[in-house]
Amino acid sequence: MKQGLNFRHFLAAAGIAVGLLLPYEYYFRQIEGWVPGYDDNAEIWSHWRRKVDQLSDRDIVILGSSRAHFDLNIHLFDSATDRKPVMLATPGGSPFHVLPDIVNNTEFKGLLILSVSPGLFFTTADGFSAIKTRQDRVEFARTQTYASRFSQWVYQGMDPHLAYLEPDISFKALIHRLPFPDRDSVRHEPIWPPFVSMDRYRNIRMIDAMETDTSFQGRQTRIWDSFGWRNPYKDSIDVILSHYAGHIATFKARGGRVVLLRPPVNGKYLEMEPQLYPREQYWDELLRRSECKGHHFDDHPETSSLQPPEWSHLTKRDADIYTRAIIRFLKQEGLL
Amino acid sequence: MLFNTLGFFVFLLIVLSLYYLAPLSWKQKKGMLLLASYIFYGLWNPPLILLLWISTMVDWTAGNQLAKTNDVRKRRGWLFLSIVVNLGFLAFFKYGSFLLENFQWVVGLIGIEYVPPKWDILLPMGISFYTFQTMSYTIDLYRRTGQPAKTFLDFALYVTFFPQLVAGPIVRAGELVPQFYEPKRATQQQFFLGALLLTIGLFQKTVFADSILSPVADDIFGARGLVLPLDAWIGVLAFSGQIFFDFAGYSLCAIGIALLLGFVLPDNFRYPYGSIGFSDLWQRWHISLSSWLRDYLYISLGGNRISISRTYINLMLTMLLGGLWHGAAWTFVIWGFLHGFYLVVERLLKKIISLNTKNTLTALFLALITFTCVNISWVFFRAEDFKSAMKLLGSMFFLHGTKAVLTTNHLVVVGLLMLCVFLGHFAMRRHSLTGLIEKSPLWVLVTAWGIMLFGLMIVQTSGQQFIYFQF
Repeated sequence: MKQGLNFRHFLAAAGIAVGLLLPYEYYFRQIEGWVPGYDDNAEIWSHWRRKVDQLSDRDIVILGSSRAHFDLNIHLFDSATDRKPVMLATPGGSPFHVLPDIVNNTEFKGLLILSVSPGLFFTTADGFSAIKTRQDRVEFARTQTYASRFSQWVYQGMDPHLAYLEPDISFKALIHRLPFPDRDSVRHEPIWPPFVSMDRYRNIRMIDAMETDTSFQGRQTRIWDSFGWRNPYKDSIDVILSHYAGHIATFKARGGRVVLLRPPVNGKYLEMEPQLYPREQYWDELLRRSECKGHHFDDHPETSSLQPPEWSHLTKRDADIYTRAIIRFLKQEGLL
Repeated sequence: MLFNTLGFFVFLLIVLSLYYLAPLSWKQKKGMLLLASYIFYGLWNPPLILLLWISTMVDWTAGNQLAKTNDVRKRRGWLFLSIVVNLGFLAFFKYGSFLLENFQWVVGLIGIEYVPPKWDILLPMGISFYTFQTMSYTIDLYRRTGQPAKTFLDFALYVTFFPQLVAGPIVRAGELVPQFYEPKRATQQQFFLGALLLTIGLFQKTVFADSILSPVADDIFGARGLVLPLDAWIGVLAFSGQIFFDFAGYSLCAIGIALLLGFVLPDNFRYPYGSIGFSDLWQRWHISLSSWLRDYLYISLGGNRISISRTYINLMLTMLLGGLWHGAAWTFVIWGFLHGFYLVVERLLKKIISLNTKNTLTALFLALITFTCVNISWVFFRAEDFKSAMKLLGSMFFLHGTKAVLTTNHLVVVGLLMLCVFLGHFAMRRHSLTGLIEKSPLWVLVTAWGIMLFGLMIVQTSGQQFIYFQF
């Protein structure tokens, strides 16, 4: 390089970068079917977690895993009750540490909707889903810096417009797509198909392709299957139930209301969950110990007929049906 | 604030706009840089700016007194004050818990049951860097090897200058303060070289360290039980690469950002994994710390001026304290001990064996031995505790692990990347990055720059903290 770097060189480099980025975005959006939306990251969760501190007795907070996240449409709640719930359910996460955080670190005493996905809900404090939620959500929210909030604010300006910013196709995740054969005992992480689109309120909707395309659904059910079907915490169920019941009791003692939900499942989940988490010993016992109202999808005709296309989460249409049903139940019980 | 976040880019754009476009005098621009530096630091944890202010005030006062008094006792007193305040902060915030735990252990040995109070104190980001930087100012003035800053603003900016505030390079006052005296404006070449260095640094951090190497290192250092030797070595190599790209990447960002403003910061890394021996390594790895330790600790202890045995003791002491500088744990002390040991053994071997390092194969062989020993030392640096470190070393050497942990993709990618790193560092050991940039054909440079910018756009960094921020 005989001459020094100048603005034209920078522009040329930026042009190359944009020239590479355009087909990259096109590929993931048009060929693979990823849909732009907000990332469900720790920053946005923390933003909504902070909102809990400002809620009134009439407000609603939703805790749980991805089933609550997909199946409850908070905008429908808003139109039916004039209250938009704060959605704190986390895909792949457990409310194990989130519940005590809400109970002990806030003064919230509105309605708490606690959704039960057995494999993630009935875990011990050191179970993977519990630790992950504690570290990536609860602890992050507690220690989030102003710098991080500012960066998230900037990021949200572009995140909903670009499909390639989905975390499941991050550079780190793409390494798992390299075509080297797996070792006998170590398989690469699952390659997730496009699945959801999330808005700034953390309201998640299943994308059209997952609702209709059986190849997408097949890829997803194979991932569920690859996780294995087991209940590693069955010997700790008494401790787990006591944990939830204790915190619920504290919350109710200060005037809060709690309802438990068991969202619909299908396929192998419908077959395996009753075997691994028998209703009498888990769901019914949880209701008994916590002295809460609860709605198991199997108990109501309008929810038992809903069938998640990939076994675990409802389509947009079914999520709306489910949400309306839940709102009706809650109103009937005087919880809303 | 972290360089690898979008928020920082907005911050930097605002600072650059004010610096170059706003009708401000030079003094006002320096004031703006100082304010920006406090905002940069305060957006992490505002109350901890107080520590920076105290450190600044104490060292400014001590420095002025040291410059104008010749009374030996007074001079010692002012130096003592500066060292006590700075090391006091370090002792309290960084080593408080460690000291209490060890005190508990020692009194337990003589049968006294002591339960220390819970030590739940946040470690201020970069405290080890700015305290060492300000101490160098007062020590230089005490030794009469440095000049006091002309104004408080110049000194405060020296302590707080945001590009290098939280993870170095640890800059001596003589290198930076005089640059604040005259109005600075980056030349076009400086500005875009700074932008390129910033791009390279961010690419190293986000693509190599965070996306490729960090997950593999985490998997191996977090594995329960013994793992297969191949997995163990790849995991350790991954950490070796991660810490280099993380820290060297940060240093490049700092140098690049300073250059955008027209300031020149010293190099902190010079292809350390191509080192031939450990004396060579420490002239290439974290140069600003190793030269600080050499000038203010090793030489103060007597260096190599007293006797051979004392030289070795001084080396060991310097490296042990260098290890402890990195963190309040015995594993860091062991890491420092290993490097001290390596340096002593190297000096002994050089007396009895003479090798021609101009021969490429010999040099490559020696570099490989050095790199292997460095990797072994990293095990202690990264492991949670001594037991975990020994377990991993067992997996690496005693070949009795049976558990595979890493995927084939990770084995291949990390293996190839680290092979390139080692050979690349070896090939570049007599060159510099800026030299390479100047020699490269323009089209190659611009294409590589474009690809790196593309990498930064797609990498989706989650703003992972730089490893050295905790030190």
